Amino acid sequence: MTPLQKRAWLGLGVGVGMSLSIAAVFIARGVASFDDDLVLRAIAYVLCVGGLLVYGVTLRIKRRKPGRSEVLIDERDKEIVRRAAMAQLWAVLLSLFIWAIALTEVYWGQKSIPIVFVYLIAISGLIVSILAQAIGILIGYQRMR
Amino acid sequence: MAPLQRRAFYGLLIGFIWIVAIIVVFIVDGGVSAFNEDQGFRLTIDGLWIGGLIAYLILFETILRRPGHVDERDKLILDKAPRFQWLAVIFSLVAWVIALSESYRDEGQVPVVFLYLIFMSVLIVSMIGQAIGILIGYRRMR
Repeated sequence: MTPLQKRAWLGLGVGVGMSLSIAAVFIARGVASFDDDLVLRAIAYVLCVGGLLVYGVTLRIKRRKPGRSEVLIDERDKEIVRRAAMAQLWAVLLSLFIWAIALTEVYWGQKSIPIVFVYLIAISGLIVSILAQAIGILIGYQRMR
Repeated sequence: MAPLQRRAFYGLLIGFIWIVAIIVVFIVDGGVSAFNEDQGFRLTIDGLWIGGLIAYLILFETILRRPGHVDERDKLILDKAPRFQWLAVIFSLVAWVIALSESYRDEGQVPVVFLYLIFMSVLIVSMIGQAIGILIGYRRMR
């Protein structure tokens, strides 16, 4: 397994972990109570910031083995990363599109949406972006075999 | 100036004019509260939005189809531009969250029209981000 693949698997784990834990917290304490529930807000922020920090650490995986000149990321890896960046961008746009349609349809009668959804849109954008990059890289390797 | 660099410069110019035009139409036609009721207002915004996207598509797609106009260096710069696009999209989302949560904190509800505006603005920011990414790429490669 190449370092980039390892990084993609870690990114996938972080993304899935973040989304599951945030979803679990919101389901357990209720989306509607976000404005009044300080604990819910604190847990959500900690999960987001913590997830991003862990993800940031996975991005620090070295390009060369310590003390060796052997390059761990080659031209093929760079090409895969390039394509994954495009997948990342499209995934974020698609997630926004889905949020816009779903919330417009659900809250059309009220003509307004609870403020918590604005936070959820931004949080989901970040998570989708992490997941899409990881999945894009893994699919890239699968196709290049 | 390389053809791609020139296009990126035009793209940036179009992007800013595009944003200013949408803001002006929004202010002149009555803002967020009038958006749901006024069909003419909605169609004007839709026209501006889709027109701008088509302009961008023509600007960048036509040059990529001409092999002589884009060399390896241009392709490398173009490949790195999505990073700026991605950053611009994430920062615009964060800006929307802060602005909306501060403006509608007392009401606890945000008008549905903002979903449309968030989506539209993210697409526009993404296009401008690409143009800025290309221009920065040329500057760094000097």
